[in-house]
Amino acid sequence: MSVFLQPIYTQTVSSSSVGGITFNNIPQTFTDLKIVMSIKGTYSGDFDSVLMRFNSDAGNNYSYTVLAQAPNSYSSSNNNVINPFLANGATTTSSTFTNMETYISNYTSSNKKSMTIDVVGENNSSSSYKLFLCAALWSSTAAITSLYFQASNGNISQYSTISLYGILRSGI
Amino acid sequence: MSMYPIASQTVTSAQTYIATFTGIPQTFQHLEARIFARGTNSGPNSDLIQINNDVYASNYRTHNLYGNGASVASADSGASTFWNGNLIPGSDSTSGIFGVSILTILDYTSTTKNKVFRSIGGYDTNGGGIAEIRSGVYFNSTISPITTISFYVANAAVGSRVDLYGISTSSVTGA
Repeated sequence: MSVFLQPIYTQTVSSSSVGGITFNNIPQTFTDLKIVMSIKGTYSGDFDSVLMRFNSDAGNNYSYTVLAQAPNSYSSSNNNVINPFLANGATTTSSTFTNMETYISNYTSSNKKSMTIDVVGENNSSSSYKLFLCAALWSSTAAITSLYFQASNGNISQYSTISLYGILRSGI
Repeated sequence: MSMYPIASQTVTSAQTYIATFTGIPQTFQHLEARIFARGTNSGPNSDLIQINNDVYASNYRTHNLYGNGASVASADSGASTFWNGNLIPGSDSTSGIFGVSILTILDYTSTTKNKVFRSIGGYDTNGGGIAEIRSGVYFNSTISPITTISFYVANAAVGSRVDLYGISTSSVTGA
């Protein structure tokens, strides 16, 4: 059976909300990682940012470049988090969750970790919605063994889901 | 494996739709559509997407961020009777050029989440084109699983195709 795209882990928030979501003991047997996220938060505004960290690293080792809508902006920054991820907040259309995907190449290699991030934050609005295309970097040579996600200004709400997949290239 | 082919439809004579998938299995976590399409009208053609045959006004809204080689812009569709999928080339584009896009709908069987799509795609005509990311929300007052999805174009060119896949997830949490 092909293991080209293999489900590794899934967590769905079953309680009213949680402060963060952690994936531990990520298998080191794949080539790449794919993360699919559907998130709503308890933030009182429209959209809360959601951060991602690897291996509990809270240092200034993260950066990303983003192409974003309204205004059509580009930005690049070094930070202690990668946080272009979003959670729909309380003032957006009810029962609506962001739809996001991250692809991390060579997550076990001794090179620094590059990734792409696609984010859409929907809302029944002409002025408050989010579309991001990002390239991000974790400036570490360590293999990725754990992932952590946390909303910046609130908690992550019930029914939010994060799924982790392993991608296996040919020849393995 | 977690990506399963569900169905595929190809346009064999010009018609007002590319594909309509009914009876979508409810056994996967996410849906993914791979769209390869061209319209027969002049100019960029819209790929219009409807869920569960719902044509009720104001149940859909779409946003996009796009570049055309000269500028970057974003737009809001307003409330609508369909999602606007990625633009596809029309009859004024060189023959044989089709647009491509990958559209992802998360948690399509959910009865607690409005359906949100994310789609990345575009086309190049060797001198023009468009690249864009699109998103849309479908918010019927009763949140239902997606059992039918339709892709309309007025009109779809021969050779246009939509492939539908189901994506499963793991039951292990890794917490």
